[in-house]
Amino acid sequence: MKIRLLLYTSCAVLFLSGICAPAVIHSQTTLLQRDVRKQMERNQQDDFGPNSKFFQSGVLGFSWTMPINTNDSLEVTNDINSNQLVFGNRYKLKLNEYFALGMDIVYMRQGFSIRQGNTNLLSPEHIHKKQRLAFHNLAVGGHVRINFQKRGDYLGSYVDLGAELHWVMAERHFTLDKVDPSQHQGAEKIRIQSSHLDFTRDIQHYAVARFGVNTIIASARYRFSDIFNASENINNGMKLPELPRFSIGVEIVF
Amino acid sequence: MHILFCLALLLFSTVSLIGQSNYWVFLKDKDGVTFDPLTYFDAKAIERRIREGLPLHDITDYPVREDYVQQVAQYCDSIRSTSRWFNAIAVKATPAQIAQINTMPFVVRTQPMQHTLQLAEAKRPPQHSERKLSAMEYATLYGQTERMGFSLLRERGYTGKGVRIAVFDAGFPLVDKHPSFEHIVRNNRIVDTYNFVNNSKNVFRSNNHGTHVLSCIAGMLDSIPMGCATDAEFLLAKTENAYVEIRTEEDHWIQSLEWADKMGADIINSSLGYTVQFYFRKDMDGQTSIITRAANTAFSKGILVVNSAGNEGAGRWEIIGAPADSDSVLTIGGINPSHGYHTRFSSYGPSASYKKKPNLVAFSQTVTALGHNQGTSFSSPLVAGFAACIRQMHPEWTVRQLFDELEKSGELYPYFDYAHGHGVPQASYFIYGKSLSDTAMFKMHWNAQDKTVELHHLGDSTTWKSFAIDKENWHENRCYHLPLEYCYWQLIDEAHRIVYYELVEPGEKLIARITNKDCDNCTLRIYYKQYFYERPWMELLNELSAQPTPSDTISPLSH
Repeated sequence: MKIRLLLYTSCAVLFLSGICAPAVIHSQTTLLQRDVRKQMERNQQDDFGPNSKFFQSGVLGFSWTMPINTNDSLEVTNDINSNQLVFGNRYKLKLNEYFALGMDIVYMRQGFSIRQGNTNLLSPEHIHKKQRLAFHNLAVGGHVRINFQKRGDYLGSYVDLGAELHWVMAERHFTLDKVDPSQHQGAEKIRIQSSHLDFTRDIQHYAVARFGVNTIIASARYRFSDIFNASENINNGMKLPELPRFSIGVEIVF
Repeated sequence: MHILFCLALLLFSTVSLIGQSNYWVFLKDKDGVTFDPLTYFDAKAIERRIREGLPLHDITDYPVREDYVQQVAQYCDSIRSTSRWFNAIAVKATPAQIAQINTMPFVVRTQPMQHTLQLAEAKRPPQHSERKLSAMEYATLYGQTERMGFSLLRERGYTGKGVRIAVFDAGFPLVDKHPSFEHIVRNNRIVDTYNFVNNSKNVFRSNNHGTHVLSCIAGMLDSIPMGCATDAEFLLAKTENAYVEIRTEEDHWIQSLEWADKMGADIINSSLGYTVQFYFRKDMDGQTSIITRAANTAFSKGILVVNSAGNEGAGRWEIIGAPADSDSVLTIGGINPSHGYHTRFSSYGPSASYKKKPNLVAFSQTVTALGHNQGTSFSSPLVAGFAACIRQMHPEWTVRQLFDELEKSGELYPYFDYAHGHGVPQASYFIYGKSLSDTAMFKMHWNAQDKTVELHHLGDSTTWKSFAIDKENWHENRCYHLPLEYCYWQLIDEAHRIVYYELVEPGEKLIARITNKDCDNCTLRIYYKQYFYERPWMELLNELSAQPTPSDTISPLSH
């Protein structure tokens, strides 16, 4: 009991001294302080910066799958639900004023909202209210950057042309159906999620193009690889038609 | 599909890459060119040259050789302009054309042209008839000139009369119609205008940034001056195209400088700067940027160039831009009227070559003819107007004298830091002279435990002046803080460079706590209540630590 009381008292004293001490001792208020040495050192830093030899920035992007349905493609809805969210890091090695090499290490969440209709081969037995395929990818990308003008410590205007290799860490198939509650234990909706799908590939590769003005970037991705494998468990053992390959979006670097 | 995509990529890249750029083509000589200064220059430009002791026949004023211009024109898409001072031609050309131009025997070199980024935002103008100032706005309006002691100048008739000020900006809409400028327009004191963007005389359209700026030089609102130079003459130049993003080509700015020189400008106000988009921080050394060099040339011809420090203080860039990095430019930072010290967005000095920047400061939040606005773009014209009054008072001073005396009039002088320069210029300096206090209002003691020097009040502690304002009697109130109540201290290294500085609001007992910041060989400087103190740190430390009773009162040390 005594030990507990001592502990509480010590805590209270520490807490109060933390609050009151600055008011008593540090009664001055520092409004502005500058270490000019650090500022001048920064002036001379040549190695790291938007237009220096090395640069690293965060990247956050969002893109939409273009519902361009060719003969061999599984139709996706043309709303915002077929999209990709990207975030990660971007690294740059400047070669000269106009050219640089870059590398991205990013996570991408990729979603395809499947149009429900007669051609839905993913689950032909049933027309769902909603059906969706989602992929969680870890990607490594490389690109060549072409800058258009001499500039200061600034990213400027540029085009990136490159490729990305994606490892699909996880994939999910979702369906959502409205049902009669009287036949489903009072449930109005049934959501089914399937994972570890044996009809999707683990590796994807993309071509990437970006046009950036400083930190705002318009991006385009084209998937060269197929998403689906042939599986005896779906579509009578025949490989599914491919999902749309092209997406456009925006990115910001920070 | 794959091929289509690749083609689209290729097209995308190619279209982006191909295109013309603007370049400077620097020429070798001006051999054979004739020049008559008496017909070329305005009478005031000649007066200025005589005052400065400059020759009327200066090769930098001679025009560019016409035959060179014609030859260059054959190899580029178009000629944009020429520069007498730089003996250069501004051209629009492709890289291939520039490669050809570089082979011409009379071409010294070529250089890609930069763009200018203007530093302040302008807001949409309200209708003047609807304008009702709040008490706070009245306080700001009064303070923006009175903080410099303008009434002392005005009472004595120093309102910039006879001084010619050139203002470079993005446009001056409503200046020809607005009642705030009626006293200028009625008396034909807009001597000339030029729109360097459109090659016309009309500057009274487009972006209203220049109208805000001109207000801070010479505008009147309800008979209250918004700037100090209400009786000055003006040259208005539109140098910026500000519709989408506020950018212009630097040749407009240089053309404007040469035009202002020709037209007899005594003072130029320019509220723009180059920063991160075109330069690295190390380039802000007072000689790299071409507009910095142009500003240096203008100074050498007797023109006082007043430029805003920039609004990068809170951003990644942080420091002044070009041409504010020039040591010939009077660089003006901003203070916040409500607390009287550095406003957070005002760019910091020094230049990359450790030159003192900014030189002075003024209000960065101002009331203008079209509303109110903030940015160092509006600090600069306040000082430009003030400088015009001093020029009127001392027409015999060279531009260097004027520059130096303006610095000395700063309320903190001889104290200086890279946020406040020498402080706000004070008219009282020119009327009564500088009055530094002989008595320190603090005592010092060494705190051995914290290893700090503490400054304690001597006598009454600080009393703040009220910020409240009575709108009916606004002119009776002190509506802003003077810097006297703050304590400024800094450490100077052996090369006389400031390595660290602080601004402190004193508490009831303690004014400031000072540490040596790993600089034992530094000299400590303190400015507090008009008392300037300077002492080598080690010397001070030895003396203070030798005191037998450190907590007792210690007499202030002499400076």
